[in-house]
Amino acid sequence: MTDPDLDLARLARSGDRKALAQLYERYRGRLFGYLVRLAGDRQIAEDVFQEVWIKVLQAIDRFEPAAGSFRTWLFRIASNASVDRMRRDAVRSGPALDARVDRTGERRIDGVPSDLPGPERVGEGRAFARDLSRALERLPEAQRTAVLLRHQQGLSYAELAALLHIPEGTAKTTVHRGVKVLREELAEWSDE
Amino acid sequence: MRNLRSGRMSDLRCEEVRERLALGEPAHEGDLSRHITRCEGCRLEAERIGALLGLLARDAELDPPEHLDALVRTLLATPSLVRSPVARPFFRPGIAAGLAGAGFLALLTALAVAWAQAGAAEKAPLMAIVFMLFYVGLSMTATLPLWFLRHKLGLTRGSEVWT
Repeated sequence: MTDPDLDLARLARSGDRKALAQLYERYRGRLFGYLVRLAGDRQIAEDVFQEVWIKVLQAIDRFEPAAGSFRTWLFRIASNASVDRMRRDAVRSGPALDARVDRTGERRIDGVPSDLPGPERVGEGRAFARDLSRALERLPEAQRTAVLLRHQQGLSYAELAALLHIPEGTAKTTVHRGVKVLREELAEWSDE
Repeated sequence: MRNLRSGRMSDLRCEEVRERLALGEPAHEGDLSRHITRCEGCRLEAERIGALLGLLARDAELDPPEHLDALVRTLLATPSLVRSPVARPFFRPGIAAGLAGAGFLALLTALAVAWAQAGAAEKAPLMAIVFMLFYVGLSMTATLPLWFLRHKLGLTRGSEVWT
């Protein structure tokens, strides 16, 4: 059975705009969801989202199906673009231990809508989601990227390794360390 | 069953169980399930990690705002709006300078040979060709660095994709 993404990517590579539009349709939601979580800021995610698709448009004819899936390629571009953007912002804003958290500890823009199920737990769920977002932002880039690609986007460890250009074992270690840190940072929630 | 205090139960250590849970292995399958049903600490940890991973998996798909969605669709439908580095001509400044230099040297060599073999009457047209080549070479020397600077200063900046 052939991968529909690869078929579309091959067509897009040869200049088929409809195929590229179909790939966009398939990935727009997942990509935006990933970027919002990765950047922790909806405005940055919007900027990077646009940048990623421009890069896809520029580079689609260099996409090599033999080197990996379209999804891996797309999320690699997205991860790199997002990390580049966050580094640029960090340079502009000067040294900061937590660039997205102001003095009161509140995020400048809380762009991650989420909660736990049940109306009685909405407030609690939002608070947990907020703390999770903060904990994610404090993770090193590599761990944040790996955790989100694995546990939010459901990439396999083989895909993760290919995307990050690291051995599969290293990908597992990175994810494990990231989850462990998140688990420790959010311990107060689970201890209640 | 082994002693709980030693952190081992069945064939799995609690540490190993927690690591596999963090990696996303389902808690209700195989040896993990067997361990978790007997180990209270790991059962609680499975619940906590499950809740954490469940929340991480939320919002895996979010709709981009309408204006952004429309903008990207327009970009994708009109690739000419975006300058593609691949669409640039194959002709590049470095290659051009190399080819021009090689051609120029070949011409000079041919002229030198012709000069050595020519009689006095034939040297006047050869001199004219030498002067012409001198001016062509001079103009190329002036143009190529400008072309290169222009190329570096803006036309392709930011168009490469880091993959």
